[in-house]
Amino acid sequence: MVDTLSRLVRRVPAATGGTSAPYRDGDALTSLAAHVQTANLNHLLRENALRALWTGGGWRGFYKRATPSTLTSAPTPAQIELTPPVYGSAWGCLGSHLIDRLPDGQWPVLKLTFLWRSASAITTGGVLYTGRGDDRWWDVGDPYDADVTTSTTLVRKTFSIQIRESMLATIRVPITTGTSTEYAEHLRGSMLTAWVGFYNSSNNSATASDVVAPVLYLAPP
Amino acid sequence: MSEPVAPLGAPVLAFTATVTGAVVRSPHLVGWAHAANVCALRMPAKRFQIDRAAPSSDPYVAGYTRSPGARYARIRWAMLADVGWQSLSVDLTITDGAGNSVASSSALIPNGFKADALVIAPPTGIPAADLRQRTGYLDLEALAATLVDPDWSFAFVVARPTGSSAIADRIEFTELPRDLVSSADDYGLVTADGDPGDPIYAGDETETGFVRLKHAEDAARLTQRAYLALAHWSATAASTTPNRSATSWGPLVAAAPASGYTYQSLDDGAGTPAGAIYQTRIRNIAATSAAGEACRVRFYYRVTGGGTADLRVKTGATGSPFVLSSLATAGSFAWSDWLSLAAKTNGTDQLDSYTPEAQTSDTSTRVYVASVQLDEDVP
Repeated sequence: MVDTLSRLVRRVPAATGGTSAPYRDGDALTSLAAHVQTANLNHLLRENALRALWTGGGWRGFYKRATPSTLTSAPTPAQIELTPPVYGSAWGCLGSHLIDRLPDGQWPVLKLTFLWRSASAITTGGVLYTGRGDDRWWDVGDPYDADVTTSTTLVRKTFSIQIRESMLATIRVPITTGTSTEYAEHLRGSMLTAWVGFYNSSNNSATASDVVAPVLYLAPP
Repeated sequence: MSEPVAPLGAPVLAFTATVTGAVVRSPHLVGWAHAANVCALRMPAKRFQIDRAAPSSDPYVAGYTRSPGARYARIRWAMLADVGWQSLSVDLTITDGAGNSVASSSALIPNGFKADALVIAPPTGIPAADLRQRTGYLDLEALAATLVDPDWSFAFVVARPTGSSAIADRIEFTELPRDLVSSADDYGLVTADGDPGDPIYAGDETETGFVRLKHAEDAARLTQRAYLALAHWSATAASTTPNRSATSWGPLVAAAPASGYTYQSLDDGAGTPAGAIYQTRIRNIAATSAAGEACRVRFYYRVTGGGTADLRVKTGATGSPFVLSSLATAGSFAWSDWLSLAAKTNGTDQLDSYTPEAQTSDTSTRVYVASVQLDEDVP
């Protein structure tokens, strides 16, 4: 248990000098103060690593079938048709993200939560998946989470993937700002790219499906 | 003096490292400093992404407020085309709340965001990085020399030549973690001068010592989360931008740009409960409760028709809904004032819901919302 307090203990307000300064040379740094310091930093290491990664406007009115066209079960990433939205498809890159371990050494869980619904007698399927590294697509064998719904009213669905070391790629890219070619620092860390795709079994715009209010975030394992 | 930020990653901070009867010495400060530097400098959370941006003479606008200690950001756009050899361009202008601006002609704006066209051959949106996207970096510190107000606004104009059907698949902005910690910067504690045999010394906020460590911890706390960043609609007073004209509270609804076109909206399409229900993980700084943590929201909006409009956000926290009242009719889109609100932290997974809604003074008046910036606002 590395985050014993599950909150941040604030320090004494900024001192005006003299003996009111909370941390002065020669004053004892108590064991309690040291413990609070450790608790604060463990709490921040955990809370700052867990964050919203992407928020979207949803996919409204999609009707594109999967491949094969008869599919009515949970899809794989490769079964989603990646055409522009003018064709009634629903998929997207949810961005490339740096991922940090939690202070207990575990990787967080990648979650996509949203509301979705189908038209009557229609199946809607979806899949959350990732690519290793920066702006990379899914490789066969990589984990994904998929499901279907036939609900005609909006229901909440959350896709969930436990991040593993093998889902990440270490990147180290020189940062060259503006139009300069001289780099200042490196962009470095463990990165993945998140993707999502949906299908509608009808292939008919009159029986389209909706995905509403999608949010991608990192949660504790 | 500068050094890499925690090159081995965040340290394991064990409570047994500092115990009664054992002297706290410099190595403890070094461990804490590495952790504080990671929290403050390696975990910025400000990010927005504009999805499926079709060319428009009106810009796509996203709000941004810089995190303490953040120095660089990455911007990227990717093209989506289903026919080869099409082209697209993106032009970026950044303004601040005081009206200062940096246009794409500035050397601070990277290539690829200067209305310079990108031509693509592959027929789908599957990554083929060099062929279908442009990536650049922003020096936020250099931009801040001109953009002195902390609230910035990114305006992207997406254009394509006649005959092209390409769109911007996405435009991404991401605050980047720092690679270096420097005593010359506002935040971060350099550990190199910590001699293992030395006691911890107090120091000051500007450079070294335990007080500087606490200052870095402040920055880690003030690295606010971006809870909602919705900027998927060009600033156009049209049915394709989320809008509402009704004297009762309800959702902002966007229409499809054409029949059979998959589109984005701020409503749930069902009317009950009204509005899209966004669920976001809330960072817990104080304690888990329904009183929640402080947030703030601003809208990029326009009111037409002569009357006024109200916007509100419903959350699960005590005090919800939070209302922004009496927005007046105006000739163009503009950012609203910040609206303070709270989000509860005692939900499952520390999730709370955000539901944006609107109403107008009369049915001749209509309010459009092209962008929402909802950030954490812990003091």
